[in-house]
Amino acid sequence: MSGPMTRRRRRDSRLAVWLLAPSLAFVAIIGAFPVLSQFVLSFTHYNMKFADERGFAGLENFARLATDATFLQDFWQTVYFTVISVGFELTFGLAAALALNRIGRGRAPVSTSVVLPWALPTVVAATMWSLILNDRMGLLNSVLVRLGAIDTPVVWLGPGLAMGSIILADVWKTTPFVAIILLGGLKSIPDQYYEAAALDGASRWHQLRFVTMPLLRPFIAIALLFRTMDAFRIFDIIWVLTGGATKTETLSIYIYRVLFRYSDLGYGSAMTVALFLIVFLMSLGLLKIMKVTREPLQ
Amino acid sequence: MRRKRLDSIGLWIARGAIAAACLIPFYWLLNVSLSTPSAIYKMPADYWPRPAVIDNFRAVFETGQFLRNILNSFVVASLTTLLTLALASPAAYALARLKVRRKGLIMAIFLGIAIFPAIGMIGPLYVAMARLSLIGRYPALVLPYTLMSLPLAVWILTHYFSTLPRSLEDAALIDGCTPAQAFLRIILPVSAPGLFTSAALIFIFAWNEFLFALIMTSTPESRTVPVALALFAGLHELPWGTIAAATVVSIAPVLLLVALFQRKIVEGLTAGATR
Repeated sequence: MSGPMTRRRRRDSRLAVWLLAPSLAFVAIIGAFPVLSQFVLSFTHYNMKFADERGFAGLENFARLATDATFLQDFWQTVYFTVISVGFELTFGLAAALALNRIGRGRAPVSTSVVLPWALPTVVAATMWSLILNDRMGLLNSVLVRLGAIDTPVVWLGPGLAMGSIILADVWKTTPFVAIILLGGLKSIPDQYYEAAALDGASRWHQLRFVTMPLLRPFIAIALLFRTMDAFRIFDIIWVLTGGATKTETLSIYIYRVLFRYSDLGYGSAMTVALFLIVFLMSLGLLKIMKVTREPLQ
Repeated sequence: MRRKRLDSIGLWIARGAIAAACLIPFYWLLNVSLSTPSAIYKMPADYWPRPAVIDNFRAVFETGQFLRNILNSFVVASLTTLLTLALASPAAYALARLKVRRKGLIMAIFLGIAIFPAIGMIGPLYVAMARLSLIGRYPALVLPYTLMSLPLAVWILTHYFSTLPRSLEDAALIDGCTPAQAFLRIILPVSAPGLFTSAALIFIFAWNEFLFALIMTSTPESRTVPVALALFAGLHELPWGTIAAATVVSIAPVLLLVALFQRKIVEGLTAGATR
């Protein structure tokens, strides 16, 4: 009956196996080993400096996490960094996307300058911002001194202000990513919707509120998902700007210290696994919200 | 009519402000890179270099070490791009067009790799690379980078392949091609734009990566550009002028890629998002 069809399908699925095999084999060889060994190590006591005291730990490493004051403080600092920076990035990214939508002339220079901060190495962006925020030579203090707003230079990367300064640099670097995603969303909304809304007498504000925003929601959710996942694992911008000093240490930096300075593989692995689970649960949660926001549209 | 004109003036002011906000840090970097040490440590600083000097750039290339770092970054990023595309494009084609059993599981594996904190993969990979005595050599970076860029590449390419018309393969099959030949001779060539977009994104990722590069390189000669920049401070007494000049140099390739592929990069990222 459907002989040739099933034969073709079988041939197709055999081809699919061959096409997928190289990348899955690569993931299995390079990826599975480090990921699985982290899970295994997280249940062991293993400090390279005291290698002979190696042994099974059960859940002790995880229990230690719950009482580790540094871990808890860094966790909340990471949450703070994530919430504030992603919040600003979404707000500014949305504003920028709306301003850049339907840009006609001048598209290339404007969008090149917007893409640029995102495309730079984070280390480079951090270096640029340390030139701006530096208290003895930075642009920010120079401008404020000239304007007469301050008499003595402000230590922007010092106690109290450092986290805010880091957030400023991160917002500058990653808002373009949000803007690009949302711009794609705006482009996907057909013009007819706006024409129909205008015919019905909807003001610009109402068009934004009742046409643009609902249709943009899935894109906002995607940007939120990517940015939250990345922000929660933030490492390099903090590494360059403060090195984690003055209450700016995040979980990734703490893990770096435990793994590579204290050589405590067991405890460091438990923290990695914990960070993975947190990010995993967060992205599951966000995906669920996305699904909810997507359904009424389809 | 008048309202419309006011609107468009406002819109252009907003666009100008956005571009300025993005560009001011670049201007300041350039300013510092062209300034003399005494001008750099002036408070309040001058808004443009007086006098403008190129000593800082000369200092960057004095030893040839930074050139070596640039070469390292270039080789690592290029190899990563090629290897990732070679692995991702067949996989993405299968996921987009063919009947794949356990598709959900395969997607979950890629997603899991994308979510796992890079900091946690470094330790075990370092041990493995050290056993193979690859520390400070290109594979120690190319292999992890390929692993980390695979998920995004598979995602973008799967989307790209699924937008191509089915009639492409049908025509090829009627002409007597095997499905494998249809993929290699028909689908891949017409997918050049999608491949370029992914290539630009992968290259930028590998050019920028810091954490693995910091740990997997053992000597100054084996460092990539971001690590060389971050460790500049340790070598000298915070030579901000030289750091700024080196940073300007390291931006050049990214600037070139963005200027050439700006439209493609935007499309690639949004294609990833619309799935």
